[in-house]
Amino acid sequence: MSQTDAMKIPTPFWRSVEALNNFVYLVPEAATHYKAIGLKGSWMGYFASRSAPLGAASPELVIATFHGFAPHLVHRAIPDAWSFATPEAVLASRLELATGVLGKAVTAEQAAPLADALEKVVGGLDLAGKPLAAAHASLSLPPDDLERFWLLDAVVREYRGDCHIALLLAEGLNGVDANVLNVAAGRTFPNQQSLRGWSDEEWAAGKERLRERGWLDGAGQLTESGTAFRNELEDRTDQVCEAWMTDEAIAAAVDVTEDIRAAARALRTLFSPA
Amino acid sequence: MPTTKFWRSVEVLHDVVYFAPDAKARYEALGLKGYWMGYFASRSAPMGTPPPEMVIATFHGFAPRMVQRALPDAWSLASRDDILTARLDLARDTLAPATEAEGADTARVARELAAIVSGFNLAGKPLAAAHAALERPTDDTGLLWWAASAIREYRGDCHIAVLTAAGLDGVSANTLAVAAGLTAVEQRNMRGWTEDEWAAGYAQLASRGWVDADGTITESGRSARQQIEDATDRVCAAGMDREATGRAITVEEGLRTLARAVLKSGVVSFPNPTATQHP
Repeated sequence: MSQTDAMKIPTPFWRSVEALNNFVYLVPEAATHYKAIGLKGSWMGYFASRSAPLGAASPELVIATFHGFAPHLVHRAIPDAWSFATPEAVLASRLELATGVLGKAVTAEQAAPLADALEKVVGGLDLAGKPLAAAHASLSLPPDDLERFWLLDAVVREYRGDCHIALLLAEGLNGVDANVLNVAAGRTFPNQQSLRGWSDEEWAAGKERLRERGWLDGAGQLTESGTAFRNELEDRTDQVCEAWMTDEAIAAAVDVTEDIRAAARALRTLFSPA
Repeated sequence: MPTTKFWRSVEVLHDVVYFAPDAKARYEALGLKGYWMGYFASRSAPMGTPPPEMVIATFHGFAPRMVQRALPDAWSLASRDDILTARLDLARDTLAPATEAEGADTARVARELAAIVSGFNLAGKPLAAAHAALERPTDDTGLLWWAASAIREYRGDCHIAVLTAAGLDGVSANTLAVAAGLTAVEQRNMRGWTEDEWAAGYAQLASRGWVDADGTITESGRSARQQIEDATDRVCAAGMDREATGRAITVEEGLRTLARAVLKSGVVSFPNPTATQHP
């Protein structure tokens, strides 16, 4: 056994990677930022900017790779978005938004070693079965350190997302089920149903399926076994992620955890000053 | 739940484009170079003009270098739309004798299969999604192949999710298929793995106790391989609504008649590199 067999990537690594990526979709300026390149509305900005690495993707491909969104929500934005702006223009615009915000929390000097570490992580990911990570990994790396850092972080974030989706599928959880479970577990917004576009009927059917599995009680509250399953799901996602990484990539992730965590903290301070 | 015979019959109909004797020549006529470039470009073109990384991700099982030899070069040698048209025409021509066989009801089977595609939950199934997004052909044979392809890739996507969740990488999945006798030993070359990578794949199986020291599959290896198939079927079933599942059951007889006619024509034989079995 090599030493890294016993090495586990700390949870804060994955959480920090996530935080350093998803702000680009959540900051208030995201709602209007993409108007400058011709996109209409905040949802179109979201779907187009996250899927642009796939090329001018069909709505079906976005539904497949994002998992969790009601198809009609995607259809409202895609493929129309591609008639207003090219994927290349959308990608450039997303990177500009990302680094504009991130630059207030992380300097280029701080970003350079983080980017170098993430480059080692990304170099050791097995992309088979990870489509959104693969699409992000296919983008050419910009010379600017802050941009490079954000883009590499996005690859790792989508890598974990792809692993999570594979696990959800293997567990027989579809998009609505996964969201119902997250709301019941208090892991996401209470209005997640409308944020993901699910109808009352679809949402109720999702609740019913979780009830049948014993994860929700009659009142729609998470049961003990539901709680256990949901907690385990995160650990198992981490395990799947690690199973597809080289020892070198795992070691690089372990080594950079404290520094990337500091960057994520600095970013958070921007939004909620102490 | 759709039966094993349903999935295997769909696979036979879809696979004609890979095993047709003139597959290589058709794509070369467009400017693509060699069988494998035609294969990678034609199967991935429903996604657009994807970079090699996307194809490595969605095809699963191929050595990255093999994909990189074909893509993205293919996209500069032929247009994506021409590749898709050539592929559909190849399917039509190759399936034609089977659709004229006695008892074949191509129109009905095509319609039913297309309705099944409409009932798929595509979340987490990228290659099926890309195929489902292609325009539906209006002729029976074209529609038959269109639908069979979306359904075949749907099961493939579900299978890949199971492999991913199980931590089984591309080379191990292939060594397991060979050890289980599902495909021939030339599989290593067919998927582009080096001898070292192949040996590492066997070593992974050995560490799980699925093959013994000389690479022979063990009882627990057989059972694991069967569990992967069973899990794939469950994942597929979970993404189908009641109506789609019902159609899969009622269309099975007509579908098998067509699949048998294809097999009789000799285009698809077993074992083959897809590692699927006789329906």
